[in-house]
Amino acid sequence: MWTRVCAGSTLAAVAVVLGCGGGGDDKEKQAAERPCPTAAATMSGTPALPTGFPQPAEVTYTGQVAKGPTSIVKAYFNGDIDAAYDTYKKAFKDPFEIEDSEHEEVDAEIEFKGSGKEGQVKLLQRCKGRTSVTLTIRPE
Amino acid sequence: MRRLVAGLVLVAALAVAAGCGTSGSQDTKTLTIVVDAPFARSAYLGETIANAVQLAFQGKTPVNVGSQPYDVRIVRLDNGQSPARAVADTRRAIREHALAIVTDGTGVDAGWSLANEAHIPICIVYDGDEGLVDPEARPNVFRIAPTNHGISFRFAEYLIPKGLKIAFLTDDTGYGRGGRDALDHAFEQNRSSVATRIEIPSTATDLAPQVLKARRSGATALLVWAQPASLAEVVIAARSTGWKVPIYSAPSAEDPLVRQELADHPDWLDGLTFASGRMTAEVGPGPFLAFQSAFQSSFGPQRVGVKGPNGKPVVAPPDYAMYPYDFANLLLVAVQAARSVDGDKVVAKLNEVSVNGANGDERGFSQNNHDGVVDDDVYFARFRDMVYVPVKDDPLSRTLPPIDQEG
Repeated sequence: MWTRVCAGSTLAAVAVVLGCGGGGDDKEKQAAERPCPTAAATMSGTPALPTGFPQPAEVTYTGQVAKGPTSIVKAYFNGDIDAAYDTYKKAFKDPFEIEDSEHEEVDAEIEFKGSGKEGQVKLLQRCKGRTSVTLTIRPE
Repeated sequence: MRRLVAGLVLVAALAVAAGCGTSGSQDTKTLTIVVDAPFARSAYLGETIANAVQLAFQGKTPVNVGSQPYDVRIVRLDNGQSPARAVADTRRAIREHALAIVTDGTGVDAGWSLANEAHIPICIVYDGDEGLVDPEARPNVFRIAPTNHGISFRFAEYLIPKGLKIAFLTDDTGYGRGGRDALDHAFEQNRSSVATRIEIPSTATDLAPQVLKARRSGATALLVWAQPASLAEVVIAARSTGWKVPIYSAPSAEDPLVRQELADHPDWLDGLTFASGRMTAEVGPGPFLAFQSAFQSSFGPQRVGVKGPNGKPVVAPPDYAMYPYDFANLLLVAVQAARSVDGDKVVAKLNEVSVNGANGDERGFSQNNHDGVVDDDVYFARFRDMVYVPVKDDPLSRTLPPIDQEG
């Protein structure tokens, strides 16, 4: 038993020492508390999204590009990461389903599938009260 | 960091529960977990899978399921990348009342139903073939590994904007054919980006004719989805004729065999870019480095057999070890949540539980999704001086820290 505890403690110590070197997370957290700079310009027109894809009222679209078969939509959400995450999670309805989701301090991902498409909603709060949104939409 | 700490607390709690909860009045029983992998034909892959499963249970046995303590026995069966042998291994797992089968993916098409009838969950930790996993039709099959769908679409997103004319070279194994199907699907809306599609024989030791055919097709890039030996032969055939075409590859490029085959011409490997599952998560490299440290402490560094940019031996990071390790941890949590080793109950709990994975990411399945690695976690890495680093011209990859590979 003692050996087991020691082994566990060593693993934990290694993990903590190595884990503290992560770095980037703290910077992002600090950035999320700072005032936001001027937002990117709204895109002309509306993005081509699959029928029934969530379009929360708080979201402003800033651009859309095609990368091969995949469409990447850039946007921002007027609100913090919690609000953005909850809003998108509640907004996915039939024929879409959420396959996986993860919410960390200032970033979150929602994996979705439906309507012949699948992809990800990537959320990152870069400043106080605004969350960047990247939609990756690819064929199923 | 909170996730890491939570993970450690969970691990510590499991260790204490496992270690302290054994009742003196109960005889310890044995849980058998079968690792079915190509131990002889691809020792790197087989050993990686088995060692990772073993690591997951280190310090956690006996495991208490309800009030019953269990030791864990890991049985290694060599499928030799033969579906027939994999089916025979499945039958043996059933005879031995295995709790679960962890496999590279060989023979799952043929053996999953046998395991399902015996209520044994299977987890695939290497093969990304789309058809292998279907939560409705194959409720006992799970996967933690990048999918072919994810790899091929990420390649399409990465390569098509470069304006390349790509020759697909896929080998005649199940791995290569699965890759070919996935690439065809990912590139079907952009067919002008594909110069040619060539199947290469996996047993050939000279692929000069196939590479010449690709060159004559006007290809400006090669995308190889093949076993490690065939990939090495493609590189040799291209570079030995002075063709400096960019070469891209499936995750098999990571296998030490590729670098060993090219040890006499390390510069030929320079620039080879491959897709794989990200090693580090949003929380940073800490959890992965801790896992790597634990893995190497237990089994020693996985030496590739070549030297890196600083003249030191190259060590393979245990990225593909994360997947069997995470599954074994999920299995442990599922069994304890079910308070039973009954297969149906364990499968049901596998659809519900989650753990903090080896890289700090949350890992788990649901009733509708039995794939534990999402498409958007596929990144690209490029070789230079026998080690690889994430590329800078892909939005995800450029955010990932390089992992030291010399030791």
